[in-house]
Amino acid sequence: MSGDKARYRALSVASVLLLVLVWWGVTHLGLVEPLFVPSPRAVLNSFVDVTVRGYRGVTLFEHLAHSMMRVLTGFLLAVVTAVPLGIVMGRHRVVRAICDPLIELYRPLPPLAYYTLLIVWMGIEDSSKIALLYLAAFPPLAISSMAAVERIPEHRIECARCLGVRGFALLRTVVLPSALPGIFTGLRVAIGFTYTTLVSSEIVAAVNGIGWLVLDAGRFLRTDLIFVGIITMAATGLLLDRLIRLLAAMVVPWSEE
Amino acid sequence: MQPRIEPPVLEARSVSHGYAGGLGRRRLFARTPSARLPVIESVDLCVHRGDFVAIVGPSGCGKTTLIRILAGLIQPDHGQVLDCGVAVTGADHNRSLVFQHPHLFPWLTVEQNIAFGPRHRGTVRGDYQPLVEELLSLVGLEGFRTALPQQLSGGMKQRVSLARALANRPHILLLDEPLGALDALTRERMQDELRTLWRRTGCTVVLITHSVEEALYLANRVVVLSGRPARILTEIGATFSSNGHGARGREVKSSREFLTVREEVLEHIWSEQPAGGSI
Ligand SMILES: Nc1ncnc2c1ncn2[C@@H]1O[C@H](COP(=O)(O)OP(=O)(O)O)[C@@H](O)[C@H]1O
Ligand SMILES: [Mg+2]
Repeated sequence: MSGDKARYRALSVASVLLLVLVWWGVTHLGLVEPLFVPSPRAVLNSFVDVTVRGYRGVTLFEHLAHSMMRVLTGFLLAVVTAVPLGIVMGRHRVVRAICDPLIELYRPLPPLAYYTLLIVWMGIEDSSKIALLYLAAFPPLAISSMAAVERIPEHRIECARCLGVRGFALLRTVVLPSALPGIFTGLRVAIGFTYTTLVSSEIVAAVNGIGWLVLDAGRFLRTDLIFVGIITMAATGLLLDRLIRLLAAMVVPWSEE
Repeated sequence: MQPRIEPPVLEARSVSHGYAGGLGRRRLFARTPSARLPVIESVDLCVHRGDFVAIVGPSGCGKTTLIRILAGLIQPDHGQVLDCGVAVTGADHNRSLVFQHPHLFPWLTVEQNIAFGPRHRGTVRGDYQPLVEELLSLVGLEGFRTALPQQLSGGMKQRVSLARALANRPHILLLDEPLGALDALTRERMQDELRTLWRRTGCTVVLITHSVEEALYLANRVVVLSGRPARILTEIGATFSSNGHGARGREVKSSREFLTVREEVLEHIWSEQPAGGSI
């Protein structure tokens, strides 16, 4: 079994290496203009450059820090509100009937569609972005928490009631732990969507952040920098997802029968 | 002084129940569902302290419905249930129900599962921990106290489920085919364990089963139900459960006396079923 796992992992690594190799080959043989596709070496050089000296006075990690602050603030605010709401929606038909249509109504909208409105209301600074990310993260979190609660076997709840546990204690000791695996799946979906939304919002309106870096580099045809930005985004997106999976493995070590 | 007459631990007074649906179309604004499928028909039952009552009936007759009514999970359409003379209005730790499947909390260890009831009802640890220890040894799982449910066999899980119910010091233990999901060998062994448990703790038990043999072997009273809707056909005072007679091992199951009574009970159930009936 573990031998199989190692073989699949090796294949995945080889697949990524092949992509880099093709990239290197194409640029090395001069098949495309360096202006369109810079060589891996050029990208690496400008990565070092933008990390150490910065781009227009601001280093890559400062840009990244701005972006992360926005994502994490919006996301965490959404977690502490949407998850409890979702849990209550899963248990109480009345709350669900009231909140569900409101969430379903704006959920299909691309967040950028109402971003303009948020900018009008809250200005172009961070608060409108955090509000945007909050709104983007809210529906997937609330809906997945609600679904996780609805999937709890009714017998388990009845068991707890026969043991004399009810009310808030029931919610805390049975409903929440039972729903945790599903909630974590929701967290993963939501962080991905929030991160995508962040980058688009920075491309639309910002003066810093990783999305803005890519936009500004584009204006000056700095494709090497665009590559640096995109690879950084991919790496951080992957990292956030891994972090949540790690957290899930720590908080939810049991498996449902 | 005149001894006070103790009320029965659990009493069902002409309990009837049915489920909506099945037959007839439900109309949108119908005030009452037009057709209700009757499942329990005026059942009277009196369980006294120390009783081990087994309720047998064909599958689908309404046994689970009946025990859920006794537990307070379902409010019956008619009649009422009294717990030590007090009307039952909902589920309660005084009447612990053990389901056919153990339904343990998968995130809690064996010990935490057993302590779940008293712990989350706000009892202080010092008050329930001695009982939890006692129950762990009673069901033979001291070596597994820190194991998670996913690491246990089916029989072990059901033992934890029993111990978890007993940790509440219930007036009465309600068992809904607790051995039904176990393999035949484990089932035989768990029957003996249930007997020992009853003898050692002196608790009051209502056991649902579709096995006449199991009922006669374990209980001191056997209540026989008809097919759906369930009525009480007859009650038999079984003497095989070794209450007061000293232990009689599982060889009693093949004694002539046991087989005769078993035949009688089966005869009761079958004679009541119309040929080619509901089962
Ligand atoms: N929640 C329910 N809604 C509608 N019908 C039900 C429900 N639960 C059980 N029934 C029906 O009631 C009858 C008795 O069920 P049950 O009490 O589970 O029987 P048993 O435990 O004896 O097998 C069955 O015919 C079943 O289909
Ligand atoms: Mg049943």
